Amino acid sequence: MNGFQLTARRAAQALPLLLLVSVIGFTLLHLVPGGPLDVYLSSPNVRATDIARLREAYGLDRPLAVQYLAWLAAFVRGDWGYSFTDGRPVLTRLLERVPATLELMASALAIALVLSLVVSLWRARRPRGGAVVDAMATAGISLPVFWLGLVAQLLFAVALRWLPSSGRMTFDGAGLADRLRHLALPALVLATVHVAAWTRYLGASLDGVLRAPWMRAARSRGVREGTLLARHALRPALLPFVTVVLLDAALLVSGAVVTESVFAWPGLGGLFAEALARRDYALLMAFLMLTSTAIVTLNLVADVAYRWIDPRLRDA
Amino acid sequence: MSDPRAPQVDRPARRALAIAAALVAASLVVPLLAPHAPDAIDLAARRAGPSVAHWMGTDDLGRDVLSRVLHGARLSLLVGLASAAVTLGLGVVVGVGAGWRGGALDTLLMRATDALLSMPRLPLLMVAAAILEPGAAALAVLVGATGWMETARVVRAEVLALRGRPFIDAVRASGAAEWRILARHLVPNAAPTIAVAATLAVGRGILLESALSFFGVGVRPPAPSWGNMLYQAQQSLTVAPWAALAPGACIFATVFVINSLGARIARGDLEARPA
Repeated sequence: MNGFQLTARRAAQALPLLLLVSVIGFTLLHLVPGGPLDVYLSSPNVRATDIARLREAYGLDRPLAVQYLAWLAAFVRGDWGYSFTDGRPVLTRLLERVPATLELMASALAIALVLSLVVSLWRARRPRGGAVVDAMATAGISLPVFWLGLVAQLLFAVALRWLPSSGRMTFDGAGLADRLRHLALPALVLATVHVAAWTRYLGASLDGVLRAPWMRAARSRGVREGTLLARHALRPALLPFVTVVLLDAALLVSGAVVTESVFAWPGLGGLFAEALARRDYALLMAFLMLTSTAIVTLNLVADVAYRWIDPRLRDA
Repeated sequence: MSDPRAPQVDRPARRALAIAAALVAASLVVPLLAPHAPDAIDLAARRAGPSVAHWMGTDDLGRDVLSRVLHGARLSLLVGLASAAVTLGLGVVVGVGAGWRGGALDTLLMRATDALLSMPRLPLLMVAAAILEPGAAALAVLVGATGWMETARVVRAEVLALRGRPFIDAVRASGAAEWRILARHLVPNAAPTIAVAATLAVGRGILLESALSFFGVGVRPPAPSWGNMLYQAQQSLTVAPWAALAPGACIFATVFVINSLGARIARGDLEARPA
């Protein structure tokens, strides 16, 4: 089977998952007591007959399965409905938030990659530091992200006044320095969990590689320690690491939801938390679909990348 | 250790296990020692800093943070432990089923496991919890039922490795029933793997409960949990930071102890294995 066929097959296997997420999401959102129109009842001007009329107008009186198929047909055509809270199309609201989220995620990933590589290599050179690094990595995966965010705000924004506590920029069109200062805290907080998880993984895989017989062979040939680590040990250890990084997409999504709402970062995660607080169902549904599609796609990329990087797997 | 089926646990791991057990015991006993009732409102002492009367200060409503933290331990640990029990139950059944039976069942179960792993867990849980408004027990089931996939994977791998070992053949040759092989010989030998998965699941459960409660959809106020204390403390973060620091530090310390225990068991197990 060639790479293209394999990719196509994996993509086809991912479709049922997206359908499953959509069924779960759709069913959940229709389990709300009173249905999605319940919010209107809080207004004294809305009478029961108005609700009945609206139910008919929105097609909410049809069987759930029929409603689902109608939703699915519209969704596939790119009609994602309208946000309850401000009446604008859901797709527009989501798309305008994408750049901020990508900016935050990309910087967090870059920080996490560099830090986990540096720390793991340092740990490999100094076995005595290993215990400290391992304890810190365990601490890193034990941190509640939102609390880390609150503590970072208290320390760096409130007490030391070094960095702004929230937002993406002070005013529209602010300069690069201002934007970087806003980015620093949320990106570092979002990166922490990944640094911890990846350091654990890379550390374990480097430990394994360093014990391999060909490492001793290389050392006995007189290869310098630095070269030994960078060329002989790191490359095989990085092989599975690439997939681990890509497979952590789901972790990145939940991290972004938490980090963005703590730092009032105007991205998708913050929008989701906002939609959740206001029970904006169309927006919630679209967010679930968007994130699961993104995760599935990244997992697919991980699968293909693994085969591409490791020639031994290409013909398997 | 005398019983070869017992998980390989070294001394630091036993110490960590003792700490974890002490935490659970403390969460049951210590609320009795709390200096104030967790929901006693003292409007005269709202957002008061740490003092002799209130060691960790008071929150927005003048409730004693220390007393709430002590009481909150109960719900947070309960949800963490109960969700881990659900995760382990499902994970071990799926993992053993797939690894032991193999064939089409294995393929089916592992496909499902892989697929479920790529669901956005936190957002889905947030939506589900916002709509279903579960109590503490239902919340634990929700969290546990969405987290069994990793356990299933490691248990399956372990079962695959154990399945071909001579002692299993020996037990089978002696005429043991299949369920007996599984319950008495296979699963106990996978104990270290399952124990590590258990510690991870408890930690994740506590973190997820706190995250859900932080967004106001987990454990509902006024009952205190560490997560919903943070939710309430966030509004007055700059005025009363102590109300946010204490519950978060408790979450971190608890999960750290549990995760360290898992790391110890994993290392002990690795060293005990024949190379």
